[in-house]
Amino acid sequence: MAKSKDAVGRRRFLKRAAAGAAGATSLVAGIPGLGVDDAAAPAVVPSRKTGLGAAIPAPTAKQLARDAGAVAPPSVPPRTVVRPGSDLIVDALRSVGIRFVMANPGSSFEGMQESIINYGMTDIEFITALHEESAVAAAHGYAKAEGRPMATLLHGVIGVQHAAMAIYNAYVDRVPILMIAGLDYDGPVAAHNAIDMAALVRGFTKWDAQPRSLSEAIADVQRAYQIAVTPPTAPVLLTLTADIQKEETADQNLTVPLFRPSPILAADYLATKQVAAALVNATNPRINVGRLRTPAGVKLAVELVDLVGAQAGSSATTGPMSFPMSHPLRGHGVAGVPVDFTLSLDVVTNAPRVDDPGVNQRASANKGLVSASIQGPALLTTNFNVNTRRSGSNSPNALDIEADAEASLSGIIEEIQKQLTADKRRMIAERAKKNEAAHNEQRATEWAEAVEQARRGWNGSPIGLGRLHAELWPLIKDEDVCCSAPTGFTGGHATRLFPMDRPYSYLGSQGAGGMGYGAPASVGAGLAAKKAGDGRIVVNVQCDGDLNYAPGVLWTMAHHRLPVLTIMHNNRAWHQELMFMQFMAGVRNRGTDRMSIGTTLKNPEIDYAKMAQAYGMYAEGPITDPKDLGAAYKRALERVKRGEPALVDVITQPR
Amino acid sequence: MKAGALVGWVLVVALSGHAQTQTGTIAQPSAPLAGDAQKGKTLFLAHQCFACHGYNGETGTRLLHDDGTFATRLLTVRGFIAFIRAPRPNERPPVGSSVTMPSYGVSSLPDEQAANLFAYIKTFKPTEPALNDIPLLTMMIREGSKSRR
Repeated sequence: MAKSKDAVGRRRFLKRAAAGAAGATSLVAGIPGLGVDDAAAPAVVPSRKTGLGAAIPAPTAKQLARDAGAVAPPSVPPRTVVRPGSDLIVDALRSVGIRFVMANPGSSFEGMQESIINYGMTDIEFITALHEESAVAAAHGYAKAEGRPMATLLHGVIGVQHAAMAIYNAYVDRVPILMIAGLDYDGPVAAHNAIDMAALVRGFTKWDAQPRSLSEAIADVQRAYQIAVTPPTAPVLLTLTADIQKEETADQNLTVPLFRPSPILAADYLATKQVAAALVNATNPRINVGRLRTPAGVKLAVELVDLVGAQAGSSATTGPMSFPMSHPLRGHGVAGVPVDFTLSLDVVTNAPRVDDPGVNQRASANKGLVSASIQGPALLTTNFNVNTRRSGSNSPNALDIEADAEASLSGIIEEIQKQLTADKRRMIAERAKKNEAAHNEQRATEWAEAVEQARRGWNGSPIGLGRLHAELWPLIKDEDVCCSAPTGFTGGHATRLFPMDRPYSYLGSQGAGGMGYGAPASVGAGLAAKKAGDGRIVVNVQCDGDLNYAPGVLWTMAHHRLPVLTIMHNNRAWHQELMFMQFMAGVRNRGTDRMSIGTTLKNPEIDYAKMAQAYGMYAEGPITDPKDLGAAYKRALERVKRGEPALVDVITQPR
Repeated sequence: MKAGALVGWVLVVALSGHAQTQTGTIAQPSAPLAGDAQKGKTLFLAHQCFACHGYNGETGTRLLHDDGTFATRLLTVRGFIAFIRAPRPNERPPVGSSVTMPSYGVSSLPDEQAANLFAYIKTFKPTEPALNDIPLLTMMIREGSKSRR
């Protein structure tokens, strides 16, 4: 009996399958390019076999012949574009040295995406983002690690709006990013288009354009890059229509011109000579090195400091591209010896102070120049509060130069070399020796203080942030490390304990304080490390609140195999906000016992190790016993050194 | 409360300069101040005191010193209560966002609860070994401050 039932079942199945195939054939009929004669479409025959009353056409002779493989391919080939416009845009990106383009896919730039993947693949890599904000924030991190921009693609107005917060962070942080927004008037969703796409973010992009032709677009890519990297460095946005991306250029004589970067404004000759003379003639000069544009600028700053044996200030613990913290001349010099000339260098006008509190700023009897600053120009005034503090002085003994510090350094060095006599060189050597001794003493004191800070709550559980960092120290002290995430909420231990001697040792804050930055910025830092290919690793001490804005970046790290060690500062709260709320409740005398509402990430607790594993990443935790940290870090670092990301979830004290 | 005790308390509070609450009223001791540490633990967690002081008073704004002694505001329960009623008795509270110590009026944290909290905090014991007893940190001190070029 069972066999008979099975046989009946098979017959029914075969009947239905035949009916389905016939129905599919009816859909195929009439589609151009399939070799089926529309006019010869057969009469529709009602079928009762399907039980649905659907019309099932009988196959034509041509269809049957085609199915049997007896029909030649169509004489008219399908539309083929030999040299699409987007290939030339890729060439333009190549011409300015773009190495990575990061995007979440979108139809408005499908032409660009296809070109990057199939045409640009040898030297431009497409990085997959799970959110446009992550793509721009990654480009933000990359630019701070590299001193040069990468590109992002944004899908229509929706992509631009998704990216807006990250663009604002980058703008305030003076970080160059080359953004291209796709615009497709024939696209599937009309609401993805806008008459003026860039208007959405114009208040916080430095420049935007919507080229009307491919030749304009090629020129605009190079122009956009130039504008982005020219101080004040900032994001720029190019809106690129789908028509330009898809147009056939095989019959056009279009080429991408060689990119010739414009010179960047340096201090003028007179100012250069004045600064050089002041440095040569000062008894005890100081050079405050803030943030410079590129690693080349850092190298020049070191050369200048060495040349004049000056004591040097550094902002390496607040952001990238500054003076190495363990350089023998970094510090406040010999105690009690007044500084008689100070040169300040910075790329931004509202830079954090790099003055060392130990510096004796009292000027000597020097009646000439006592200070000079070379700082980049301010951003254009916008609706946003981005030029908050303009340093400067009205003193006749002070010289404020609005120019690029990095571009000015070569001239100053050259001028100093001209002015140095043998006596001066001897004096400089003696001064450098004393400053070096002062540095060693200062560094020992700073280090002892840093270690003492790390000792706080050493055996505590939840784990203290000092120990979270200290356990990593022996494993990375001799490594080439980039600390990618802001340290404002992690106690500042990373910048005190870890080597801060390379231009990318610490990438600094979000810019505008927009959360959801640290994790994607670590992707950008990871791309820079992968590009360097010399064993550099990224350490991302990651706040839990920040990660939850766009955790999909963990997948991007895993997919692109980025050497990023993420250590979760998992205090299960947006802790700063919690403290704000506690204070507010106190002012109103209403008690603080309900302040966890809206400020904590509890009930349920988030398991970040499982989250990372789900995204395809090696992960451990949650770790609550500090004794388990060292071994977990070691295992995770082994992965990272092999070129893949890893995550260790640590349950931490709030601060 | 006996009259003598009340006078004594007023004198102590007045001398300490901490009598004024944020609402301008005088905090009156209304209950015995022998706190219950177990109840205090519940309060410590509910009010999230650990946000600034850590779960053991050793991190953030520290309450506990290395030698096991406490910050001065935790010497006596009366001093503690006076402090939380008005952490900045001579200052107006900041207008903007602040992570400084919130104030607790009698209605939001009665003396009895404050005493419980005090009792719990006083159970904290240092978990930090001396630096020389932590091999990793001694190694860091030894090796870490070397300059490199």
